[in-house]
Amino acid sequence: MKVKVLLFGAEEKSVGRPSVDVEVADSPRASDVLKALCKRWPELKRARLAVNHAFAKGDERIGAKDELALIGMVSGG
Amino acid sequence: MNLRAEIVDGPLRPMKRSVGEGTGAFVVFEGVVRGLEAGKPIRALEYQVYEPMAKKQLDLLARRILLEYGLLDIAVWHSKGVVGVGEVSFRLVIEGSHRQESLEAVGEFIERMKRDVPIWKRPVFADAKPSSKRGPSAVESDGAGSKSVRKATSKSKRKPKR
Repeated sequence: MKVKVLLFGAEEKSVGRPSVDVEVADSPRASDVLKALCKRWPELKRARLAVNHAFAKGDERIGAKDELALIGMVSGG
Repeated sequence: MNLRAEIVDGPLRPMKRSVGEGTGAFVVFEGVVRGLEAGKPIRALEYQVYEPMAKKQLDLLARRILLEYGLLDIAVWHSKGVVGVGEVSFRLVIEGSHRQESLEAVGEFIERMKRDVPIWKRPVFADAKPSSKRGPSAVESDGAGSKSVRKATSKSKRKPKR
């Protein structure tokens, strides 16, 4: 299945666009999505995956309707 | 116990102070956009916010800090978009029964926010045009240390922007 991952901040700048699509096996875990992302863009390896606006654990299952975002180093405040 | 967490478009307006009956410590931290970034003059900071998650994480953080430190009230506002030099982009208001836990909670809240709340900022230099929408955000610096602590004032009649 193909999943869309939103990018922000340094990750968005690095990849050059605000989201990317990655191909993963059906019913993937969060760690599978991260692995697929980092295979294509190794510079993303330090970022965390968020699923539906919360940081995901590696074994969390991803559904087709879930909203995925890659959260790197933040700088609010 | 009460809490609120909000994302606001642009700079935060001055706040009106309202203190609860059991409050013995009322602490306000305001983050102010500093006019220099790595020694270069800037016009503003532009905040990129992943809004649904930022709101959720701020709310979660406020709940945790409220319980962990036994506070009476937490309110937090953070700007999105462009905030000019000298303007307020972040405000944390903590009410507690006593001074020590209230002051400690401010530092801990900000530490965790800078780790877990998806907000990014980039300097807008004097000769640059701020971008209007999401796009390559060109984060050049986090502007750390650009904050100052301001005392709450009861003179202002304006409410914080919601």
